[in-house]
Amino acid sequence: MIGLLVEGFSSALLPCSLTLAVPALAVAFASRTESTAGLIGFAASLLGFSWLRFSDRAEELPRLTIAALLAVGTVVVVLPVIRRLDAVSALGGLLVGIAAAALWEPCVGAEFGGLLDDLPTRGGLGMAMFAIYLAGVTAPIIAAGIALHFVPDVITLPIRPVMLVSGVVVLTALAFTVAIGQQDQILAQLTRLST
Amino acid sequence: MNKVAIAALLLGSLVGLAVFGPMLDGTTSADSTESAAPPPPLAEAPPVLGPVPDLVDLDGWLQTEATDFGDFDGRVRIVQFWTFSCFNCKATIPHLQEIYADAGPRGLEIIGVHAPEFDRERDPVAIAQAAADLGVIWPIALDTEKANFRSWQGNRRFWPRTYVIDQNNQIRFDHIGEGDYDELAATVDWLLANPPPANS
Repeated sequence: MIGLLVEGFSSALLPCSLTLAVPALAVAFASRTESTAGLIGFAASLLGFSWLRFSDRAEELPRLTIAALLAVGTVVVVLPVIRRLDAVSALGGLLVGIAAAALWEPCVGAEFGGLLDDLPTRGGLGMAMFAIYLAGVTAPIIAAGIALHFVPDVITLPIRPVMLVSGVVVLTALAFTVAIGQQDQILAQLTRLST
Repeated sequence: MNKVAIAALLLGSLVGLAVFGPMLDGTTSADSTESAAPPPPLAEAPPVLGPVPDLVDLDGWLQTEATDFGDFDGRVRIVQFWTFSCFNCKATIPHLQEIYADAGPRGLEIIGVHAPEFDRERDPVAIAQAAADLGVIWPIALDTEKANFRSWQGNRRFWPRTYVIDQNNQIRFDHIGEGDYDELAATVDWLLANPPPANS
């Protein structure tokens, strides 16, 4: 079990996990003061839907559905006309999390591989073990979101518009590229920039 | 939302899972450790998991004169979906090399289906160079648009994924990720020693 957690954490640092890290951080940036709620929504739906998918309990989502989830999720995350509420941000994160789970094609180590081989036949225990792995994968993302939450307003206030715009731009670009089947390209560009 | 409560909840969940998780089924990371001793032979025939799909819409082949997946019909084959910058894929290569050195002369062929994740992994020159650097000496099928990566794996798509195909084009082993090398080698050995009757 500890091996699963460690392997998940190691995977979080690999390019394979950009499919999760990019939309998660975009949610954190776009939801600004409610970044923790947005990321909790993201992590919850990521866990639920990726478990359904990898345990063969869910059909593959059509590309346009994934793009629509990203687009609607973006709007919900940044809804400007409603007073900011945890629940609204969490819902936006939840929609984006489903899309990320549908796009995720993980690089798999020995521990996670052993779990995935049997995941369709394992019940609740399989889901618990899957959650442990995912806790490792998402730990740096969640930590970044929480860190963002704790940064004093005096620092974040001037850059909030920049954070909002960058989060929205990334999520919108991802939605568009998914719609036209070229999402790998935007992730490739981000990889290049990050290295 | 109470910041301290959230942080404590998340941290507590992680620690709790790590500490109490092993009590759920007694699994530990040591369970996946494999010995250096030769793999024990399989007690029974590996299960037939279904017919192998074709490899279609490829962008070509490297390190072989084959031009079609059918050129390898009748042989025991390991087919692995990989991409050269995938950390976990690279970790499997020494194990495949070992199996290839042992079973290659007895008829095993390995086919690495290269399904790129990022742009720079689409270039055949870069793939050939990476293969040379990594010691990948077996044939490589170029699945540049990942058509086979998707059609073989369906909704459960991972890097790496390793299959063993028997002499009758039936899948006899399917493993996701690293590991299970002993069973992989034992499956290959069993099929080479016990070829199924044609079209059984």
